[in-house]
Amino acid sequence: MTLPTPLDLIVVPIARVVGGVSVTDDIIIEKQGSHQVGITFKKVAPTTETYKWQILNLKNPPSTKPSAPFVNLVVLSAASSQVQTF
Amino acid sequence: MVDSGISDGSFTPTSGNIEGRPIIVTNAITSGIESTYTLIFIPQSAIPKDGVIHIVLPPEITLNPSIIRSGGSCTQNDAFVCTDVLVDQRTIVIQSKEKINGGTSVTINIEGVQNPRSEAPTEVFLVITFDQDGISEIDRGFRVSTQMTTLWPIDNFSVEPNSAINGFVNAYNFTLSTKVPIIDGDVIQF
Repeated sequence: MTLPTPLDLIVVPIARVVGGVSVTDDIIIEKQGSHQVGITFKKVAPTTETYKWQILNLKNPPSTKPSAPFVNLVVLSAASSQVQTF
Repeated sequence: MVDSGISDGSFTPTSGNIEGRPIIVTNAITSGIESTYTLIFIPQSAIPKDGVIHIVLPPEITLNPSIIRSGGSCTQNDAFVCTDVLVDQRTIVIQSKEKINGGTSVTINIEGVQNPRSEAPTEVFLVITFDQDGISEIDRGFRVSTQMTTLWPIDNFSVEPNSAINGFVNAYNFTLSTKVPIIDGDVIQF
């Protein structure tokens, strides 16, 4: 069996429930790299305060040593200006 | 005869300038929270008693007429009266209760302005002064933009792999919580 290379990342939006209705955003992987990923919300479904997505083919750390935290998360506008940060 | 013409003795002058100072924003944080914006400007010509001032805001900023009219210079009754807030034209219409001499500094406080959602500089604010008729333009200018200096923090961001086995290639589940809506075209980078 051949495992996919960790760089073949696929984003899968996870359905959200808004007003009792299940909705799904239209998301694509914008860019990929060994340490940075960008996902673009092409079309946002009716909004809640929580957004969920899944990225396939990420490789876990090689040992049981805790990974470094996910840092420098930033939300950029379509014009690439910073909107929010974590 | 080489040339001829008729004059009725009338001419229409062009409007003067309004000099602008940097805009003061009480809470310059991105993402649409409400702030008070202070605009300081110096009109070249006098604004007569009952003259009209138009403050035209850039498209990045959202007006909330009821809040704008209930505070700031709109309640400074001895000096100004806010006669209208035109949301579609992004314009606040203010009447001056006293004559303001040309070359003097005018300060207008606008409450209830929703900040831009990003840190990009806004387009410029415009100030136009009119005679008492609200039509005849006296001065036009200001033309100052503003820029948010602080990014809104995301409430929560979590990541969880489907499998915790080291070296495994698998799916990771991401959850992001924020009070500021994500909109079409936004990119989340991490």
